[in-house]
Amino acid sequence: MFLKSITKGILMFFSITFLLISNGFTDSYPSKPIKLIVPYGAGGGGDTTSRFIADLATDILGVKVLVENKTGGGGTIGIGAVAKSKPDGYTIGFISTSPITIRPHFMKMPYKPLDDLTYLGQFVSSPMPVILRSDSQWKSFEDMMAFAKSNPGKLRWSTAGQKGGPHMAMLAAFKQEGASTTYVPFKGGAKALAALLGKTIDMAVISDFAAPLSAGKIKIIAESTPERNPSAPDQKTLAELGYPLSPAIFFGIAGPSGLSKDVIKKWDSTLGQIMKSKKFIDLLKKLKATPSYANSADFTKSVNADYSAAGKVLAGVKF
Amino acid sequence: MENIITGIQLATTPEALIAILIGLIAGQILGAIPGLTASMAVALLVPYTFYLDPWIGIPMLLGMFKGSLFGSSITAILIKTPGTPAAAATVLDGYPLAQKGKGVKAMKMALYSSVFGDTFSDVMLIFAAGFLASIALNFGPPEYTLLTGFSLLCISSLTGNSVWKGLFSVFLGMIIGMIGLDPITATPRLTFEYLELEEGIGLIPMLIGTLAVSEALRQMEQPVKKLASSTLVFSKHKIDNVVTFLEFKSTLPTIIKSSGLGTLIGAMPGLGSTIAAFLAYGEAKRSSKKPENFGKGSLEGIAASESANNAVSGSNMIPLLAFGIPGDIAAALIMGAFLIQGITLGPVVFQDNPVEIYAIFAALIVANLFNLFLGHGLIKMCKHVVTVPKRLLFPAVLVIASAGAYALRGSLFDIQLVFCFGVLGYIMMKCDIPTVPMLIGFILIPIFEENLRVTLLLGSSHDLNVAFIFTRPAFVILFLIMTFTSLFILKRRKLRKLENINN
Amino acid sequence: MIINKNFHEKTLILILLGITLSFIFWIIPESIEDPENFGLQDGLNPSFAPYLIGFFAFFTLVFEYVKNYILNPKIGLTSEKKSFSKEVFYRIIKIIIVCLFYSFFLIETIGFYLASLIFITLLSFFLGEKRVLILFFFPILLMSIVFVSFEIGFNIFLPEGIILPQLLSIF
Repeated sequence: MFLKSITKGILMFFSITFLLISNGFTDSYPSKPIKLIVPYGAGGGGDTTSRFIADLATDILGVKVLVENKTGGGGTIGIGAVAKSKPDGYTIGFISTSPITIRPHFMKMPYKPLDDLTYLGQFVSSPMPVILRSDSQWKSFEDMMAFAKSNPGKLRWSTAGQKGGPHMAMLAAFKQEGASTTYVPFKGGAKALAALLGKTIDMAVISDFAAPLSAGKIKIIAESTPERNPSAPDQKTLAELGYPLSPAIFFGIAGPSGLSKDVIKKWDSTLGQIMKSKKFIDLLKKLKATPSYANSADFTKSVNADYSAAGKVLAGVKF
Repeated sequence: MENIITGIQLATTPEALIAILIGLIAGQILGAIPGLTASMAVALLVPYTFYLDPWIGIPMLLGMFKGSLFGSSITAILIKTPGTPAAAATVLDGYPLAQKGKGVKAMKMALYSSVFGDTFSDVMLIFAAGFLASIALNFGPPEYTLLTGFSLLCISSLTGNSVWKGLFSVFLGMIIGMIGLDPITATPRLTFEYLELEEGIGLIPMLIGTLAVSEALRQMEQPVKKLASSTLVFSKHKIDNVVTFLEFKSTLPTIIKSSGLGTLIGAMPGLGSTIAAFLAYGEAKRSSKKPENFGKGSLEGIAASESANNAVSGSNMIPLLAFGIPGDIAAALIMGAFLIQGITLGPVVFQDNPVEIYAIFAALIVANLFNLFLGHGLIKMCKHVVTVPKRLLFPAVLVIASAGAYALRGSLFDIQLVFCFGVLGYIMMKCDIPTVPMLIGFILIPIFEENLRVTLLLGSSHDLNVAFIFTRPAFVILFLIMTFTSLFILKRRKLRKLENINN
Repeated sequence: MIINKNFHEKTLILILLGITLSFIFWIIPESIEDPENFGLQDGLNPSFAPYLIGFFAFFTLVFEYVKNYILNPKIGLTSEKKSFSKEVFYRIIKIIIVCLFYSFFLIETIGFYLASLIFITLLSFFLGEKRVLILFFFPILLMSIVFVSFEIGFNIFLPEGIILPQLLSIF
């Protein structure tokens, strides 16, 4: 029994190497498994979404799309690996806002976000609301801001990731109002949420708000991304409140720079098809994310715009 | 009530039972592979659950988690290689026992205490989730600081014969634990601009290196003749191959206490099963009647660490059910799987999806029973694997350990770290410096430092400054409990010493 | 070779003392930058904890040295001996070199599977396995199991190395 499975394994090994070699001759893309690098650990930061995308893309493309987690440096190591890979379309990566449009302005990066990557498409934008405990003394964002201004250093708050988009957006807002606050760093949204509910901090900007919101433990007072939050459509965005930075939180796919037109076209149509699948839309609904598709050209444009907008604002923020 | 019965019926359908079995078997095997952790095992299985019903997919995941926690203790006991970091504390007593030929006894003890810890925490999850979660939420940075600081003090007592060497080892571990991004300012520390180091040194390469690789090196230095035999001899006496009722009874208080401790720690986001195991081990040694046996093959030691690390598997769902906060990566993955199934976790789940949730509860208990039976099978199987001669076994262990270390982060650097720590551990062994204190310092310092500094940061925003910690009821209660138990134990020790002198 | 355990301990403390001092005065200032205007109200500097641990280690070592070799030198002299075998030393150095060669060079260049095949064969041979059949088949068997379980079972891809893909792309 055991021996049988081993011989099977060896046979499989040879047949696969043979397939790999023989496939090298055919030209149409894709002809061999595609590696999708996820720069975050299994289970967090969009890993679930990308595994689902990989699964759907496998059905559409007819070759296996395999997820590989390459974590480190707040997502920069994985994206760096994508940027450095061979531009043949067989190594692509999952990307999100902070390591692309925010962090490069003040941190050393192993890649240049605008030059070293080809943006293949965006599929999700995630809301990132400003939340308070539901028994909080403040009723609105203005209430909170007034408190922050009159009590320097007394407002304790946190976000899902230090020096990420939401953190910078709130810093820029506080700076504009001349308020000084205490930012309490926690590793990950879950811990920030626990600290909020445990009254260690009083305000948080996080994306995993679905469960406590439906349980009535928290309330939303504003939205830090450009679109209003579907769970609380009455609450304004930071931009509508007159603050300079409200970065979109996007999930997308990118490859190394210099991908051929065929590859780009193939992914445009694949992502387009995925976005139409009911399974995917259902998943996003449950994750409280908004399906938001942009093809390669539009995505590149919006990344460029976001990048320079963030650059302008962040040049003035001291932290 | 009707919901509960429907739930139990769903959980005991053949499909569900088979799913649990598959999860457990896969988990036990994955757990036994060094480097592949319980949460990694869950992550690998999550995509397969997309297409399954919740009462089939979720128990499969949970079974995987439980199975891998037990599977990892087997390799910890037999070849000093903890399959997952959670079993690192099991090495301390399991490996010496196996060296004495009592490997089967050690593994059975690990199995029984694992299953007990599992069941204990599952019962707590089912009946006391809300209560425990509200306790856990009161634990903020000040309480974490107190808890980890106190454990650092206690666990330094795990050091070997020479005090200064143990202390130095703890300090070395702390320094290694500080490599990476600073927890408050997010500036790199001790990284020398090397990007791979910014994420910090991984716990898994460090554990595998200092425990397994250094032991392999120590064994491989033997003359060629000795390497032709197998590492372990299993005693033929029946008494060495079973856990007698008396033995189980004598460890039962330790098991119950450790399960409770593990359950509490699992309910607090961010601590996890490794810390639970070490804490329970330290506590068991501290309050034991025979602390001198710890580290030399004490059944109590195995019982403490195994029941505590398995207790985490049920209780890390507590904050998930009560508030929708995942306590660790595995819980986050399970939450993702629930979401995909259309179930939003949190207190509302009992109104929205009562049948599913009761089915899952029932499945948890069933999984524990299965784990008990499957565990016996795994023990029998592994007994045969370690009969391979050393000269083949150790190279194989090194290669599998490298593959496992690579798997987690996809980084070659981690494989290199495994061997570097192996050499470091070997040198330390040769200088009689114990390596376990280094691991404890490494595991605890990041949590301790981060929370201490966040506490000071929070203090600066309070009117009372740092004294604000005494306005937190959880802090005061924890502080009192710790002081009193320490005093009590000290007093008992003194009394016993006096008795010994009088006799 | 037999060495005095007491002498061994003394040298060990001195070496560790040297390492600790170079850590405090060279490694920390070299690799940790404290942000400006950062003080206690912000929850301590990044370099605070490393310095603290460094000084703790320093004092532990100095205390031990002073206690055993300056205040009470006689206790140390009567201590037991420790054996040191050159043979074992050379053997272990050889094994360590094979291990480091495997992890730092071999995997990166020729990929995990090929490197591991070579590594297992070489190491088992060093450790005294002389049966050619086993030397040949055991590594292949083991690596097939690893391949099937990792790549096919769990979808985890082990490094494929630099050379192999290049060779493939030539064909």
